Amino acid sequence: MKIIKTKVLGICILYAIQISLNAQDTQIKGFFDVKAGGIQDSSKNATRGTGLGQFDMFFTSQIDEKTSFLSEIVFEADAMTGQVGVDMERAIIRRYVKDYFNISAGKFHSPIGYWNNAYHHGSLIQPTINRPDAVAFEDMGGTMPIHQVGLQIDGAGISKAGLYYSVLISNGLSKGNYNLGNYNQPIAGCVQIGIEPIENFKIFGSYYYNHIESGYSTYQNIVLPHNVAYNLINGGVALLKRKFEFIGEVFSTTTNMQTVGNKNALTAYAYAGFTKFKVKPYVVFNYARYQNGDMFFVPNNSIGGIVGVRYNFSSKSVIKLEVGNTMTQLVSGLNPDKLTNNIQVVQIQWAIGF
Amino acid sequence: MKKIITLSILTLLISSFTLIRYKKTISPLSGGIVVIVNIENPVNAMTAGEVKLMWMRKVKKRWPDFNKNIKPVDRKNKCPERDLFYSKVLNMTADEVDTYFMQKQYQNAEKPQDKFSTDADVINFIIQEPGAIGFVNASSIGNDAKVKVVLTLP
Repeated sequence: MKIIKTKVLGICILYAIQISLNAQDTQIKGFFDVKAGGIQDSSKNATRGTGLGQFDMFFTSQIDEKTSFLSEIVFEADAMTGQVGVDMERAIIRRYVKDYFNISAGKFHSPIGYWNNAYHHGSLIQPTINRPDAVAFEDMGGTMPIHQVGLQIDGAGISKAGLYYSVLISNGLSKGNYNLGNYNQPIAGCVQIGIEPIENFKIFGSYYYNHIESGYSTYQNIVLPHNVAYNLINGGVALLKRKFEFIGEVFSTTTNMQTVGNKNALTAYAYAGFTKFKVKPYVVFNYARYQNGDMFFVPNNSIGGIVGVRYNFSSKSVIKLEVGNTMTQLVSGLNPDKLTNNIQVVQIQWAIGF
Repeated sequence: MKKIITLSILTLLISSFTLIRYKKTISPLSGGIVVIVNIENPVNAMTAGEVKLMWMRKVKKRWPDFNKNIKPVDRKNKCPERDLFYSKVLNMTADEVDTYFMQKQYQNAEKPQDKFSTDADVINFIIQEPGAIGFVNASSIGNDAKVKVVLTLP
């Protein structure tokens, strides 16, 4: 009897969920990927194996005629510990006002550059296995402030040039992604402007500013001894045609810290892909250059390239194979020759959407 | 014997001719497709380019002068109507259309197109949803249709 009651209760709960999903037009979708490959690092032993990528679930809901909601939750194993962690990557309430003016609030991917907001965590829709180095996530050694909590306005389709823009006011780096009620700390500002003069061809630029307070631990685990004025300027182009794709972006980050002065970090990537039948060969170029004495980033200069090929079984299933080589050199007062590494990677990824 | 062979050939010719005619008559795209909107929508005619922009919600999310969300309506499975609409209006493959709407939903929480199995379902949805826009076989639109044809594609 108890089992029957539990089953009936379960069915009722499922039915209630179904009704609520239908009532608000809520959809649950996601991405998942599995990788296999090997890494040969000249300073370490070779490693190889298979691994799970990100299990990315996103929910969208049309709350009313003009209000929508999106949340993205990622389950991911920590590369070092193997523990599976859960991150709320995005959670956005969005209100449409006009095509050229929308208001959003929540946790965003900062409107810097193209890749960051086109592909987010979606391994299926992203043309490569991993993000290019310049737009890597914070916990993957990236240098860009990606996840931000705040308010955003944006719009598109302004004038015949296809002008679009985003303005984000957010907590900033030293406040982190979760505001605990302390509103007296500095905020960050981010602006992006772009044009799409012809279909699927975009030219854009972004600017991000944040006054970061001392004691903040950077993504690369450097605890700042002084306040830092953080300026990031980005520019790039994206051309996405059926037979040919090109995305190129440059990021110039200047940090000003007492006793250290201005230090500039320049990172860039270029991606080019071609379509031949259902197979898409592609190449990626990665570049990073830091100045000697930079105390905000680990000044690991690098230059590298990837040659890859992807095959779409369908719009919801893709397989990618990549071979990459990266040379890195730690910039410091030490003898740089001893700190030069050569890293070779072979990877295969099967990504799906559901 | 000759008579029998001649008769057989004649029968074959007549039957194949009839079959061709019959096929022509029942071809689902004999009259092409029409792009339809809700009867209350003030838009009366659209070019293929305008239909593409609206149906894909490329720039505009709501109908101008109508104040309703644009709701694209699609066919669930591969069919001649969908093939014609994708190739002549969108110039995209089915996979490209799926990927496009998946990205829009993932980037901005934009609801993807509503999909239906039959022309009748598409028409019923468009009758009920003021902002809907979809395509059906031209022969599916009767004289008393409660939808508005804005584009005909032969």
